[in-house]
Amino acid sequence: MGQSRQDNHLEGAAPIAVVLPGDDLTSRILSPDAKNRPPKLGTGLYYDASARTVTAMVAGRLYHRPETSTYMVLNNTRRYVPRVGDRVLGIVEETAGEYYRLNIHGPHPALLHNLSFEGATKRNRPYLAPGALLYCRVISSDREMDPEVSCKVAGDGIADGGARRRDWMTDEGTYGELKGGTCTRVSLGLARELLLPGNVVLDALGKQGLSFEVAIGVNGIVWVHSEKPEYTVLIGNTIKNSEVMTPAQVRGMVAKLVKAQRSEMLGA
Amino acid sequence: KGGGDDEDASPESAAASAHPGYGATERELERFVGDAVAGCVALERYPRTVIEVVVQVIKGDGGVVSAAANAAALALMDAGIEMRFVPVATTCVVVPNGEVLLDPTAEEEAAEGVAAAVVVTDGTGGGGVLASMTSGTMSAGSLLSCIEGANRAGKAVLAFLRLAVEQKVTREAQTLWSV
Repeated sequence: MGQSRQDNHLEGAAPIAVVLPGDDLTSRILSPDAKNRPPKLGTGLYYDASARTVTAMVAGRLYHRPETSTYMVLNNTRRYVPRVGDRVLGIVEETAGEYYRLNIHGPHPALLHNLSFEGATKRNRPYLAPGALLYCRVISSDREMDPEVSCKVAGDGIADGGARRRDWMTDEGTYGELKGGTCTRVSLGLARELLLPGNVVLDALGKQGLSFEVAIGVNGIVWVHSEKPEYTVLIGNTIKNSEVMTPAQVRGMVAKLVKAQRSEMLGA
Repeated sequence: KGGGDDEDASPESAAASAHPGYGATERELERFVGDAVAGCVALERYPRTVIEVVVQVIKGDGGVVSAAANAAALALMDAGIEMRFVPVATTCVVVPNGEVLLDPTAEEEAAEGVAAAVVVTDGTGGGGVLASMTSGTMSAGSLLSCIEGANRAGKAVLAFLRLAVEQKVTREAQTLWSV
């Protein structure tokens, strides 16, 4: 009802379960009467089918998602590991034959075929220079090979989270090159939070009447573009600050910074 | 005089090596800490990658190797590297009268006739040893006492690491996560 999601997690919520690598979580996750079905596990948990045990592999918070009955370990790291379906921001490093090599801040550079743009043909395709910033999605993430990305919309777009399919030349599609603006690196947890609807800091910035564009990659890169560079810097700073502030503090911080920036711009 | 197992920072040894502060001792300790900690990491999940842990000793007063190993384990946990369990290291010294001291100071490590053992366990107190490094001579019984002491102390150290992770997770739950 207009209340941000982030206000709902305080008193009355379930106690936070902290796990370390090696913790045996079998009693917490596997119910004894489950018919030997493997449990639904997300990141950070390992199910040993032969011994029927569930062990934590990372340190963090054990979280249970009731909608999908999934267990996972929430931890906030800065190191990205590519997974198929992730939408990431990549920076073109070089052209290698028919592929571009992008830096997606993972263990290996990602490959982008130079025709992987909407409506691109051999004669009509974008020519990206090193340093170009792209919003793309991961289409292959084998551990043994370099990950591959694409700027094409999956299927008809509806299955791809409502992505827009427009010709690459129009610059109106969801994926493709991001021009102008600036990008910063944030932690992976903050990137995931920014992508949720009703995120506190983006909401607060919008309510202040700022007009801006953001692109958030789950690999921890955030791109911001607005009408004035002062606002771009302000938005980047508020996003980074929001990681260590409670929702109420975030709203206060955004109001204060925007007010200070506006009065400075009027005065100057 | 090599009494303990931490880096020898005295001026004579510094002048002797080409790179003061990084010599053969440091390389041996790198190997020891690296092997102890790598045994716990699920390396098969990270093919074609290098996991590099850099340990910088700012100030040491005994037990530097086990502090380095514990710090490396904590850094790997913080980075989200998948591990099968948490390695916990403890330093024990055996004094000439047979007594075993845990977590010695540099003075206790360098004392006359003292032998030291660094033991890495998995923190469950089950009696298993992941890696160990000794210096000086000690009886087999003393070594077993060191291992038992390290197992007991390992449980306390693991509880401390859990507390550190809890503090971080609780803070994040208030400020970062909206779930």
